[in-house]
Amino acid sequence: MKQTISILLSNRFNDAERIIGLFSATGYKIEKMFLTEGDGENLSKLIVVTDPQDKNVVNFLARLRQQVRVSSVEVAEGDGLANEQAKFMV
Amino acid sequence: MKKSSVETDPSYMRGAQILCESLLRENVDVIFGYPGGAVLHIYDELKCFEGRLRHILCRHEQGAVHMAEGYALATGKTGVALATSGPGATNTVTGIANAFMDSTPLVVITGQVPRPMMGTMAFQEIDIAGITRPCTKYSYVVKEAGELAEIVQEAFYIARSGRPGPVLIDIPKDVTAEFAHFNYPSAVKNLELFETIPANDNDISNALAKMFEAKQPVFYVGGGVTRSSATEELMRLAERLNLPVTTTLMGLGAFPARHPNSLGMLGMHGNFAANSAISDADLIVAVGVRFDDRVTGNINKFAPQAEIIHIDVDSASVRQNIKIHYPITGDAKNVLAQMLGKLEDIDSQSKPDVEDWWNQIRAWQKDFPLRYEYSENVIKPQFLCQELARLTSNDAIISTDVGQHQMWLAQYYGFRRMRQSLTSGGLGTMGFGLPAALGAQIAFPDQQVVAFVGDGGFQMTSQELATAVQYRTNLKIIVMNNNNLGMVRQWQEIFYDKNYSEVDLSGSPDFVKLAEAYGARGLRARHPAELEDVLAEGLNSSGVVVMDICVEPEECVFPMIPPGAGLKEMQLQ
Repeated sequence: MKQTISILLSNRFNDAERIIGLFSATGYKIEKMFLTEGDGENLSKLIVVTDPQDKNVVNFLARLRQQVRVSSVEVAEGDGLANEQAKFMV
Repeated sequence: MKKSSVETDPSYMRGAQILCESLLRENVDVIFGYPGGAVLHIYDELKCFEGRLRHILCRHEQGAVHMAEGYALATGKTGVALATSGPGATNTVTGIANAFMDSTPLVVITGQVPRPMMGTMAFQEIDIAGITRPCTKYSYVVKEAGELAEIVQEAFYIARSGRPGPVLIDIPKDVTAEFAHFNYPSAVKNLELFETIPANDNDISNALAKMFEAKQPVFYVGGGVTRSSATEELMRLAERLNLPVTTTLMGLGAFPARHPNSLGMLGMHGNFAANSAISDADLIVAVGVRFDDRVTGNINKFAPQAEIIHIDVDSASVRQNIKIHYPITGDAKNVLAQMLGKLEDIDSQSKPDVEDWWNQIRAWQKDFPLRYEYSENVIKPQFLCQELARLTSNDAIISTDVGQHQMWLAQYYGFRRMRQSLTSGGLGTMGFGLPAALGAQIAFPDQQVVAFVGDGGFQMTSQELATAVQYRTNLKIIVMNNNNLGMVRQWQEIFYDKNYSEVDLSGSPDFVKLAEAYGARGLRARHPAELEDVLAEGLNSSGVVVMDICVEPEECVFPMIPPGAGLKEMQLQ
């Protein structure tokens, strides 16, 4: 089942690329992705839709959370990208 | 600020000087590096820091990073390597990946083309931050000299905190020439700090209760114990509860090999007693380990009856490879100290009932010790390791590459203390041993440091002999020479029906002459009767000595767990 992972991180040079790379490095295919400004100064919000299949999501989320300059990681069941995007289309 | 006042302000300096001043603030005393176009300003500045920042000129940037790793592993401090842009930077990648896999604190500084030229495929330009993204804890591309001090401070903090690892700082050449005010921050401020929260009190009590209830418990400990300097706490706990302890390759020395509670190393080439104890355990207390596949064998057959307590600083490692019944996230030293604190409230005579378990373990140790057939005609590699242990009183700092020699040394050396074994565990890097040992020798010039390498790995970084000689070190190199890529040959013998494919290294140079060409001393032993004299002479001589020890080429490392098998399915010969 697909999952939507929302990551709040710094918008410094190289930070979003590091997190995106972690998906493929741990075997998660990025099906959809959205990167925009986050709520807060110098923050980005990265939203990724992926299908973990039989992978150990708990550890992957822990790995994401412990990355330098990642503030928070939230996960929701299903493809929630359109809903998340809509919040930014004001 | 007006120009005239700026010029007289001592805190106003160019980026290269800010870098050097910042390194001093992080108590860096040695940098392992190699100059080039993009780091010329830095090298210009280093000349002014002679006596405060020692620079070791390596012969290859991979060697520089391995030296920084060896320095870090032996001292517990953060190692520093410096390379230029382009090929200099790409040559650091193997070392960076090695440090990432083995959780070694490292700061690697690379030069970059000037900012206006970035992205133009300029001469010696490469996106090293991009290349190393998957094998660094973090990486910086410095955009202006004014942020350099803060970046250096953060880099060192990130490298050593939590689960340690490598951090890259990529600095464009014009940033090192740009002037800015140097003001080293008093503390890291723009970074969420790693918190060493004490483990949950109930989790500690529960874990201790399980250890008292268990009938067949065993400690399984690894590199995390060394990284957090938790050897003493581990020994006190193991002795207080009278529990057996087995160590991983990375954990060699974290618990003394000759301690009565030690079972030695477990895993693919582990001791029979260690692998059997893990397989039959009803409780495993795993400390600073990550259940690597070389340790567990077939994970579905690993410790089928055991409940597992897993103590690790890295929350993402706990439960990663195996079901954990009692996870405890925390620094090993702190968690073990918390356990010892709780034990003070318990009658000191109260211990787990493990007498039958120890009887079983002692029987395994007696019936199935490490064994090999001694030969009077040819030097057996195991005999070489035993002789090296005897002649150095098990007390030398020893590095290895990866392969047969690494396993035999792990089995037979008997490491006494943490930070004594420098090895490439996770990445399994040939060519690590010689430069890593040299890094340790630079840190501890008066200690006996030995690079114990195979003839394959030795030739991957043997150019660092020049570095060892140039800095007048006393490094000793033992080449376990079997004229083969031994471990590959072993797998081809056992699993590929002796179809030996491209493992013959008989075209190698004469290592004695090679040593002499570098200005080192070369010695050779071909026969068991010569071994003691050659080792004693080599180890006790001053200066750099290469000992070429010709060993039995067809010897295989046993015990061995075949790929896909469980720990119980050891092949003993």
